[in-house]
Amino acid sequence: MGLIFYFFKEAIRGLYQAKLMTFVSIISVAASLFFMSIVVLGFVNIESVLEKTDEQADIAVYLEDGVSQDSSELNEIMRVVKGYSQVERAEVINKDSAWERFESLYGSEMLYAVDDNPLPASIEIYIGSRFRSSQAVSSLCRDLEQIGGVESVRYSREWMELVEKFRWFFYLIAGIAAFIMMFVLHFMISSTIKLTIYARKELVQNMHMVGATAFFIKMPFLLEGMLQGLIGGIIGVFFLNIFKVVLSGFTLSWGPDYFPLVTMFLGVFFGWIGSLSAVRKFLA
Amino acid sequence: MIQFTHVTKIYDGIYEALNDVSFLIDKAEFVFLTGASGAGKTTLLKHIYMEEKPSSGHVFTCGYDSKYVRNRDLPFLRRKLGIVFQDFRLLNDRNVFENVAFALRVTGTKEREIKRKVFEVLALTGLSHKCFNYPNQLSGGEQQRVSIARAIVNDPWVLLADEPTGNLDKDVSLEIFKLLQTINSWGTTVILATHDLFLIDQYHYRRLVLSRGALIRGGDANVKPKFSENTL
Repeated sequence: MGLIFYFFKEAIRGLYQAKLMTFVSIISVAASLFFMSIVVLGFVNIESVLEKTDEQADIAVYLEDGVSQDSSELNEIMRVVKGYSQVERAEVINKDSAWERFESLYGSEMLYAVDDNPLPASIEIYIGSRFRSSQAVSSLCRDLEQIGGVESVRYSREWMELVEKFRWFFYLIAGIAAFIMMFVLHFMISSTIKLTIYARKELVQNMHMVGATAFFIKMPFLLEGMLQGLIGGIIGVFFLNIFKVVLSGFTLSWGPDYFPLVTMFLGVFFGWIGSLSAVRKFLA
Repeated sequence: MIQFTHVTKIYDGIYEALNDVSFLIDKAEFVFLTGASGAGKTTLLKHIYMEEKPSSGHVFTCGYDSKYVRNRDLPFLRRKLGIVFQDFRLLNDRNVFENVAFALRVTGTKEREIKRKVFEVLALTGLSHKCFNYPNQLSGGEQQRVSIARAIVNDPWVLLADEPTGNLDKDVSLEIFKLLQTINSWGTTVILATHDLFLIDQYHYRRLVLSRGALIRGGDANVKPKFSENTL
């Protein structure tokens, strides 16, 4: 217990002695962890939007007016549609269902002036996830257009291409940002610890002379880095909460409940890694 | 206790800091290590606490052989030694008590034991009344006494003093010397590196005299390695 207390005391002494550098380092850690959290939460939110997009039908096949429900023609169209290996699920939306759906989305006012139901019956097609590339979808659409009784085929090819591109672009940006942030965290903490070791070289020399073990000499510096990371993490989480309050009007996901704890743990982890590299280099 | 067998130290392949030095120092001996500046006194002391290793030959200190000692053994060797420097090397950000306690703390001594031993050595060195002063509030002689207190608080087998009176006036030097004699009288081996001719002439202790890295007096060229290669 006494030893742990001693290590903490020395670590806090070190933080206090290099006040300015410690302050700059903690703020950098806080900023890096804050932006890393924003990137991760951005990722979580975009993925959730994309998942919802995935739940929507991929292709709408509009049928000619003459194709009535329960007719053999419709059964034949469904048989052909379901015969495509890319098609995971297909549902018939008859004219009445289309009317109800339109009403629920846009209200009845728009259909007030219309005597008869102008909406066509359609088949909504869901494509298996492994066939969901824009090329495969457009090829399937061309085939569907050729089926007798089909008036037109609509598909969100451009939207899907955009989603695909955006997803990869976001992965790339998130990866680069995370890498830069990790580099900043590592660099700031290890530089501060190097300076602290340099400023306390007399202490280190004395420790060597009086028979301190390597563990005993290194531990306060490692703790110092971890404390910097922890304090930076706490400040980062604090700013994240302010951000949350600012954006409280939007329906956003803020990650699981333990997300702030993970952020602080990351701060401690990077603090440990940064100080370890400084200690290895300067106290070898 | 300490044995040098044909120790030679060459830096950068050219500069010969120690040249075929052999001697044996027994338990509870008091030895003067003398020689002009640059003769190799500090290098010899560094070999005793194994901050330096010989280019050839063997150094044997308190059971550790320079040829076989591992880096992780060095802290345990140094706990058997007390080292005092000319420039005191005190920690200016902590008080006298903390400077002395520091040497015990790094060895994992319990807090109650630390207090007891620190106050004991501070009483011995005449610094009890200054235990909460900081080094910059002390005179040179007082700072050196703190440095000695720190060196002996672990009950070392050997006390190495590298020019401890180099920065002090004659009276204070004599006080420090008498303190070293007292420590020696308890059975601690004392090796005092000094230029101080007054002390050397006044007190007839054994003298190891170095000149340009060679031991010209007090050594023993016939010292044979006392321990087998496996002994530690």
